[in-house]
Amino acid sequence: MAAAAIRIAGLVKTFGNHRAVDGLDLEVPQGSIFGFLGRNGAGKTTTIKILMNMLKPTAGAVEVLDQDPHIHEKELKERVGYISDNPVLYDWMKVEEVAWFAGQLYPRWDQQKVAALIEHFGLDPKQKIKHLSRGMNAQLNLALVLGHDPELLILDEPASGLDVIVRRDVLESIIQVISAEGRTVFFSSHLVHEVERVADQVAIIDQGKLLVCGELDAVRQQVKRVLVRTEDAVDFAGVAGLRGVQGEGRQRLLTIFDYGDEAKAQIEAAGGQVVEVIDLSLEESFVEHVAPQGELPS
Amino acid sequence: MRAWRALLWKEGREELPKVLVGLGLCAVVVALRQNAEFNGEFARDFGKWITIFTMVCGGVLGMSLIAKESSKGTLSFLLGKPLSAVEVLLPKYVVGAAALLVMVAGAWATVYLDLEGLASKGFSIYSGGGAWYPSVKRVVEEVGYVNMLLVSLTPGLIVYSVIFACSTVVDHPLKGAALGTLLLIVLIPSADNVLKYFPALKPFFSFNPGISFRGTVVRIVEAPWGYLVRVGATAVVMAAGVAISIALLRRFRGISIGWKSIVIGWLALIAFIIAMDMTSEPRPPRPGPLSVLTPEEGAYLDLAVVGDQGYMATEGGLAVVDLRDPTEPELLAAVEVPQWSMSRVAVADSLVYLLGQRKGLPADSLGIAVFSVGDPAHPIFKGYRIIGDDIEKFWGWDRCGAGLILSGRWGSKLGIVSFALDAEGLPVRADELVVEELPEGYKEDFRGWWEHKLSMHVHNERIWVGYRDGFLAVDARNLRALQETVRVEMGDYNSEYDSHKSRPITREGNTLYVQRYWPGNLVAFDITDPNRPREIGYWFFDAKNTIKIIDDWVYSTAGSGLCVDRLTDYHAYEDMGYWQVPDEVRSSPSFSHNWKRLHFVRGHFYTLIGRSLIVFSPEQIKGGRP
Repeated sequence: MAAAAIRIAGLVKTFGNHRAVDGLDLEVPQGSIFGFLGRNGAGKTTTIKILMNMLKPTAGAVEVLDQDPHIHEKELKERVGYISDNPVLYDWMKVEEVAWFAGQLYPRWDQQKVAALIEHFGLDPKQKIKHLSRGMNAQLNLALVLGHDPELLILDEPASGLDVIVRRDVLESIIQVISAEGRTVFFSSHLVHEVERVADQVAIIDQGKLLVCGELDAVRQQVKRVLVRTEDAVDFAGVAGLRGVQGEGRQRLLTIFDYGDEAKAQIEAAGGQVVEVIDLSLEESFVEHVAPQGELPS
Repeated sequence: MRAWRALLWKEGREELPKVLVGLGLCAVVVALRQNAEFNGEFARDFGKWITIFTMVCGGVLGMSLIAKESSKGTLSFLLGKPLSAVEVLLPKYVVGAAALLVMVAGAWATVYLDLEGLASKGFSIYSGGGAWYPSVKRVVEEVGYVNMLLVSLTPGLIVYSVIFACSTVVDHPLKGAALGTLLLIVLIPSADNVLKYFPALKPFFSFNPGISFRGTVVRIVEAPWGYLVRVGATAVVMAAGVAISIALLRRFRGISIGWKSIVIGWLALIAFIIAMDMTSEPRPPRPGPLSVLTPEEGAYLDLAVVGDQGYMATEGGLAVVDLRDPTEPELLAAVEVPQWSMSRVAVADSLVYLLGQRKGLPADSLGIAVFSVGDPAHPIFKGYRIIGDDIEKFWGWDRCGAGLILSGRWGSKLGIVSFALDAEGLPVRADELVVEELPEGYKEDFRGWWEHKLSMHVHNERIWVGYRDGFLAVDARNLRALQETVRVEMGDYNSEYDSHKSRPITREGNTLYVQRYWPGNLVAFDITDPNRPREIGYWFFDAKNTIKIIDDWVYSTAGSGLCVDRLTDYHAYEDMGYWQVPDEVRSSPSFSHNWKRLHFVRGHFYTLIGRSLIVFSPEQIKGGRP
């Protein structure tokens, strides 16, 4: 098993009576592109801020690149690249000025690489930040976050607020520029289909709790829709992992977590006959995970 | 080091517009000073305006350095970088403090670029409230640009530091300003309460050390330890501000105090102030005088107390009062002297000498009318002497040894004139001693009330005279040959425009108290050897009129009553309150305002206020205090 770039154990963060993160356990394998999924307010940004020592945890422990971010904040930030959920640069600076300024804050900095990325993104070094579009701003942030050649990138909603085209560009950049170098990328998003395009590992968090974590395919495969032929008034309540039942009459569509032989036997024992097992997309799987039971029809 | 350089560059670039706006305002002021009317206002109020400017600049800089980054979102950019809290905050703090320094330096430049303009004749000496302003030109010249800048910068740095620290835990500059101001409102009175236990330090911690009659700025500059204490205390506040900011950023980063909490804090403060006001005990009513004696017509103009009798100059003559019962002074006699206008009284043995002008004679003919008061109830007019038409003004009039002494002005000379008594007790002009000679053209410059005056205290054939530059002692044992024995310059900042004010001078035992005009100090001299007065201390006290000092209690006359203060250790004084005369006394025309005498006889004070004789009892105000 690959070593973990991030380890989170029993993490709790409360704001007053509100538990933003509630006993979170998570491991992010080194070299992975890890999608951290959750609805708005699920606790993603809070978790990331704790990883970056921008917030103090109420309880639990975090390790980033085998170091406690609270104790080794400065050393860690030399090895980690971070883009916040609302990355704002100094709007009075020019692109080249902010690149110089950011470079001065790191002991190691590859100005040529940053300049090349700026050129790659088609940004004018003489242009003032305040005149950049949101997409250009996001691209500049990507360029800046790579200047010190970080081992780990932590990106908080990197494509949030961008239109579809720009979002695609930014995500392509993540794939091309960042993951191609083999470094770990930990990024949060609530845009599931975008994560599906990029990530190889995902975790879904809701109300501060981890719902599922693993390789993308495994998470996607965890939830199945099962088409069942049956007589009227059959009760499938005893089927293990049953999330919901849709339809009436002779055909029912069951949503089942961790569907397998045991569940199939239970369906048949209840008087049903499995007609078809349907795979879900990550987005459908995500919805099934985070929607409260009964809130969304399966 | 690279990071520090970059951060200083960034902060400098961000604060530059504010500095340029501040300096632009200063440039506008410099230009406006070319206008005489504006310049006159500026010369009067620049200390106040620079203080306000300093505070505002301190607040504006302090509130925006961190909170602006929070509100714009750029703080996350910095916090995501390998920077410690010290590296994030200290460059900000340093640049902000430097920006404040530059802006305040610009503000003082508006003063020093045109020092001559401060001495404009349009400069108002008296404000509506009666405050007295010194020669600001001389003050700013002697204190110096750097000292003035550094001393006035300290309150701005305190405001800046407190608001800077508060802005660490908010996400908008206005929240930082609101929170910081709230904290300052709580802290400043608290610091004042602490200073009550360290009165020696109090003058150096004046939040506004501007150009006030208290002269704090001069005291601070002239007392090196006071200067260091002030700078040191400011440095402590600054260090505390930075340390608290760093601790807050380390501990509470990402947490912002909301408007709700700030508003609750303000409401709590307002509620506290209202509650304190409602629950505080009402000030005890000011005691009134023990008794008041008002003439049916005219006014009592001057008072001498000898034995059980008080002798008063009235506009037309002499009034004698029996003071055996201070609660009810009884008028024994009132004698008119036709064709005389009296204004001063002195008593020698059983003779009363009224100084005044004889009507019908050439203008300014000064004379002395003499009464025998062997029987106080029946004064007998013995005659008068015209003492010449050269004395144009007179202020002091007192018995001295076997004769009389007058202080006044003849021609351009200010001095004292002695009178010996002939066999019949009538005064004969004996000698004169010039204290100071006024410059040519003084009559045009100083008319009436504005002209120079002398003050005088006579004791044991020695006359202590306060004049513009200090005081002197005169040996008057031989009234025909007055001898100046010593002259002491007070070295105060008294300009030609201020010298209309007499220099209060009094004595208790072997201690002579002399007012230093500015800084407003009451200075004590040991006169055990009257030829060598030795300064032994001073208090931050501004005696305005006649004073009398008894066991460290200072009694000074005022239009509304008798003010009482107590000199304490460490140069400070405590306001003990004052006796207040009834409204009808206070509102009546005040004669000889600066020259009313204050007598302390058999445990009671006697003075003249308005047109009345007033008697005060110390017990009324001391309330049993020793």
